[in-house]
Amino acid sequence: MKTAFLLLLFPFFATSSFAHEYFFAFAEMDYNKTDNSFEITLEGSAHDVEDVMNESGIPIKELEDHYTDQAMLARIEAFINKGYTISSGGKPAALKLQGMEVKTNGLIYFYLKSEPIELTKTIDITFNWLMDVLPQQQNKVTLRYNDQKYTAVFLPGKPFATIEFQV
Amino acid sequence: MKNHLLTALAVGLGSTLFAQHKFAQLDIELPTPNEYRNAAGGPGHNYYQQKADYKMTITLDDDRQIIRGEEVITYTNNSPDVLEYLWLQLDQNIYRPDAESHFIEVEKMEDFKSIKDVERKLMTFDGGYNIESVASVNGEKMRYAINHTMMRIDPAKPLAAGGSISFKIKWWYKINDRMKVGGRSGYEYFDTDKNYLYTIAQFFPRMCVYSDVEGWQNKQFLGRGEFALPFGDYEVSITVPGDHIVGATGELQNGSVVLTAEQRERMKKAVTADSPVLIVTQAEAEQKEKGHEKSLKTWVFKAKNVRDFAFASSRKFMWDAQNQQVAGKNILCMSYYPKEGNPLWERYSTKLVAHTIATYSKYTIDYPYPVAISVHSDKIGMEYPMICFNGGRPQADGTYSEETKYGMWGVIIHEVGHNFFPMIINSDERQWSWMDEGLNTFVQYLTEQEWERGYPSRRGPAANITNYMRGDQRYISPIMTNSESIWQFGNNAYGKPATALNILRETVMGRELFDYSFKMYCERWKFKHPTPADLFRTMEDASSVDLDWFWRGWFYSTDFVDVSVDYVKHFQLNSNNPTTEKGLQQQESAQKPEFIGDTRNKESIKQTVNEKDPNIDDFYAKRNVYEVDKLDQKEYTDFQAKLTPEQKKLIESNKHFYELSFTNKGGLVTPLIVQATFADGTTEIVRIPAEIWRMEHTTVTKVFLFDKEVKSFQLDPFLETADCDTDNNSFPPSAAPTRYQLFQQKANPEENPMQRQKRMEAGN
Repeated sequence: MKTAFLLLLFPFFATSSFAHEYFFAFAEMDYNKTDNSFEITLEGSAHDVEDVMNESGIPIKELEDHYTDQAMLARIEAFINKGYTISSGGKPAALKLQGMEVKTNGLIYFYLKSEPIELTKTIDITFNWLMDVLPQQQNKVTLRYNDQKYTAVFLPGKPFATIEFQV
Repeated sequence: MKNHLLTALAVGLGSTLFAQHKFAQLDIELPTPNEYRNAAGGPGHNYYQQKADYKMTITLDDDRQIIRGEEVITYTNNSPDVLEYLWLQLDQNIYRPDAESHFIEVEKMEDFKSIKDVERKLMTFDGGYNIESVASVNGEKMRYAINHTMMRIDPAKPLAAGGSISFKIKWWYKINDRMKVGGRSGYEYFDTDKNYLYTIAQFFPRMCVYSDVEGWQNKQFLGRGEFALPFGDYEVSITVPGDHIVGATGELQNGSVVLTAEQRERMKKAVTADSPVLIVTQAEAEQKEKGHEKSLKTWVFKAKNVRDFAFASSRKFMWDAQNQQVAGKNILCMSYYPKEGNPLWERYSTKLVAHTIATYSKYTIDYPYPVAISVHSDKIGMEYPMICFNGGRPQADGTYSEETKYGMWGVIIHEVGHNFFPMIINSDERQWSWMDEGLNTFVQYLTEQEWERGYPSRRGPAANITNYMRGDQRYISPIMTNSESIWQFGNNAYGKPATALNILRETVMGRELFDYSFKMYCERWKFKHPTPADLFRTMEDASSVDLDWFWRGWFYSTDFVDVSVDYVKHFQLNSNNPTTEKGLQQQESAQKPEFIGDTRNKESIKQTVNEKDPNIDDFYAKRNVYEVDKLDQKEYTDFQAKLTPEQKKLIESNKHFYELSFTNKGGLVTPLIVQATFADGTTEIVRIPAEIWRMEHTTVTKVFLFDKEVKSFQLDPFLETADCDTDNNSFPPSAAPTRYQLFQQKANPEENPMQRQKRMEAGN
């Protein structure tokens, strides 16, 4: 059977494969029971993120230049939501970018808050952020809920995970 | 709760559990010592290595981005073996359209979401070697066979032990556009001034290593596992456009021909200068960018006892140099960079080169080569003997972020540091990336900290590796994994070994023992080919610290450190003084919470039977258990009489005993560093070696003795063990705030501070 697939058109931005890439993103998630939302810190290599954004049609030189650039922050928020989704009981909760911070060691932290979401016994996470362009990208989540910690690993061939809460 | 401890003699019964594998010796994992590599971790009495000398004539075609070369290799067989064939590396063949590396990536249809994904899949670069001839020095053709990135040459007769052979290879290839095709070397094209900047490496057929460990190391080059190369002497002539500046491995032999009188005069100043002197200024380089000279110049370089050769060439290059002394020897430190690298490069690059070779020399071996070079090469970092290619490019307006500055500093220190690992301490990169990347990243950390106090090193500090190490272990590789099969290359080959060495130095061995042993490893294996076992054995043998558990846990497993404090029990010595002890018992009894039924019964039951009838209460009901009687006093007097004065003093000292329970949740055995904070605010640290886990790997208890009452305990208070979950490290329990909570407490960062400064100065 022949299946047609949809191609998205992005302008071409040159990239190169670098000798010493970082290829690792990490999300620290906490559930705030007061407003039923996730508070998230998403960590990655600033250069990796810049490269992938360029590849994905968002031309950017350095993320630090855009701390107060609302238009770019909106694009970054959409860029993150495309590669990092959470849902519970089949209901998704979009992530709102609250701020970002590039550290002097080259890491970037994106601070995110989810829309309110009622937790069921499980939470579904898709976290293939950056994997489109960096095939060796590996992402990891640590979720803290009711004094328990849960972790999940995401790979290009394994972009989804379901975390089941201990009762 | 305060418990009381009986001063009675007790026989301690050890755990009957037999579980010693985390502390088992590495006998099975390590190769048997032999005459080539001894059990102490040094070269054996019959250690040998091969030698490969090269004489090369290279031409760089700047119009067509092609490189042509003719090389004469003289290969000396110092092994005890007869070699029927010789293997050479053809790294450029990784750019052939039929290269194996193009076919080994796992793919799914969802990988092709955009037109660009498809373009990338379809993109071909017609690279790879064109071998024109392989012949003896007399011109007789030699038989050869190419297997992807390896070439076998069959000598007319086998090469005897102790013999040598010379042969010629003529080749050419198209240089890759590094910014489009990628790669460790290639060219960058600058559209604004129509010029090229070439960083050329892995450009000639190079001999493979033949050793006692692997025979020929001829594992195919798939892109990640780097190189294994024998040492030798090089004489290389490089012909380039007449307005190019060339930097290369080795010393320039014909400066009087290729440099102007003014450049030679400036260089004369630089060789004794303690800060960079410009040999080619920015204005001169910008002037040359405008013309494209048609004449050619040949630059000649010689390098002794190196494992490889690389060079950079461009008319865009600025060039500066300064001297750095190492052990009384002058080293010429240099940088080559286009104007696009400024202002960062002119200000920092050469100073970083000088600092790096001086600091590495302190911790490893004295830098032995006459020059050390840093070349600007956007976005990458890549190393070769005496020369390396480094990123770090400011914005077009000349401003740069702190991240860019620290990124540039870090990559220059790292790549210059590779002169030591693996260029001199010449491990097999094709097999073990960590042996050069990990060790180099560790010394990079030490060098960064000596450059600037509090330098924000990304790798080295234990706490920086925890996100990687915790969690699902199926997608983490042990460090002892071949370079091509590693999950998470950067964290695995760079970060984790660098962290492990830092923990050895700061926590397990101590700085003095570690530094001596590490330097011993470097001294033993400089200009030789070490293996992991040589490192593991030297570190133990030179320090008298049994580290098998450490190598096993950190290098052979994916266990991680997560130790929890489970409970704390407080005890004090029983004085046996009935007045004191019974008084305390009475006090404790009175402080016990009352059961709600008892409270309500006081109201609801007006009178019990024994309250009504005085004949009910007998001896037991009437006695006061807290009353001190004569017999109690006599027993106390007898007890006192048996005690020595020292024992009496001990009982009167009012010491506090704390029993703490620890659970090893991550599996990696680790020293326990426990900080007690007393009621008066003072602290005390107790360091417990990892061997506390030697019989019981899961849960251990330990009793701590203090003169003062403890208010709280903290495990790993200085974040030195890479404990992946510090929320369970304290008693009473307390969780650290999340990064998000910390972010909420401070103002958002705004703009690039340099741009803000410029805006302010412009009055905007």
